[in-house]
Amino acid sequence: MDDSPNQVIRFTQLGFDDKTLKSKTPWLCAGCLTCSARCPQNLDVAKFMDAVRQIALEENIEIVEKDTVAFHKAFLNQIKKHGRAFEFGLVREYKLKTLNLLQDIDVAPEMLLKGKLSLLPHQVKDKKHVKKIFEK
Amino acid sequence: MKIGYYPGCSLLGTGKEYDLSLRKILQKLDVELEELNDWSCCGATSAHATNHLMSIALPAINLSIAEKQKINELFAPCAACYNRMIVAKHELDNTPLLAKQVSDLIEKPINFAVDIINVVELFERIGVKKIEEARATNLKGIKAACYYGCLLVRPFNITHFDDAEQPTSMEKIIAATGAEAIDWNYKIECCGGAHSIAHKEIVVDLSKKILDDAKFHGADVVVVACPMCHSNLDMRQRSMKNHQEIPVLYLSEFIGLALGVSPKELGVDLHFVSAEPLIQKIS
Repeated sequence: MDDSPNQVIRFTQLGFDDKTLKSKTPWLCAGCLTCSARCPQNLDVAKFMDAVRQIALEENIEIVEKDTVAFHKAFLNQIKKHGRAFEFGLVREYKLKTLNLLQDIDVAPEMLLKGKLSLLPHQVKDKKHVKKIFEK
Repeated sequence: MKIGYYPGCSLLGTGKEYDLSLRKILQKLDVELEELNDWSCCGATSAHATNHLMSIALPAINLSIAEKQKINELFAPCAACYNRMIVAKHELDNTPLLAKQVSDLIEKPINFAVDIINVVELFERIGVKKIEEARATNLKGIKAACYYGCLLVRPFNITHFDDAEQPTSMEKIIAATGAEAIDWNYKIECCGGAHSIAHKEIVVDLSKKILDDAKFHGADVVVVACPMCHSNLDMRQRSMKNHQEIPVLYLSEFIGLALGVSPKELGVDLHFVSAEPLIQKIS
């Protein structure tokens, strides 16, 4: 994390939107909501981070945390295609995008053997509305 | 008791033993599950991390299916699905402009009466007494660390579940098995969630801290209520340095052991960390 969460919020308050949008911090936020639950000023910090990420993507800001962006995109692409998350498709797309090809080869074969990693996606029958949400 | 069921994507894959064990034990506890027809993904972390409208509209599709099936209570075993559904419903109830946008997108009226129920709430409704009556094996002598993670208790103003800082409802259910729920410090700390792929090192670090605290307080097992937490706490033990393994069981698996269901039928053999030492201690 390059900036602490309160620094990112301070950038915004002072009008340094560029620094906010280029910060790694929002991309490393796991969305655990602990800060939102405990903030003495009652600020929903996690929701603020959600907004920062969305604006950064909409404004085509160059995002340093490329792997995290690649993960989210690959995850959402599975929903767009199948209506449901598809772990094998997600990992395949993520690896091709990031070239982290060897990641998790220690656990992947065992997941396949245990039947926890299906090679074929579960398809939702009526994908009309899911598709519409993605086209928006 | 009959209740609507939204398994969620993980329960068909990495968390399939959660689905397996739930179906097995709920049958024994006289709960009938009515699965949502043709449900789709709730959008999980990736939707709310990148697109607010999408993060509300995807769960809304499922809420409208529940409405169509006349389901009053919808049980979402995955803590992340539970959270996304309950947050979406809250925002739709309180933001008319957003409700209008979502209604246009999914071409359905937005007026959802359905209540979203998490796994601990489901067992609370079944009742400690019923679990005690159905108990075939007393798990006395087993020390369990009840792990809630983030998304059951937060945001508290929306989930209104238990206590935001010191939840104890899972401990009360565990007591019905005869096991002892230990007091520990990391029950609502984050395991790293969806960072498991893009930032595995963060997940390994956070999850190890949780497991170390459970072990420090004498736990034989960590009991969880979320497939994401399970995969981080179980599978990622492979990558932890200087680490002595500790089994991680779903709440449904743990109760299943007390109900006399075999570990194999509960899918306990599908974990990465063997639960054999725990099972030996029980029998």
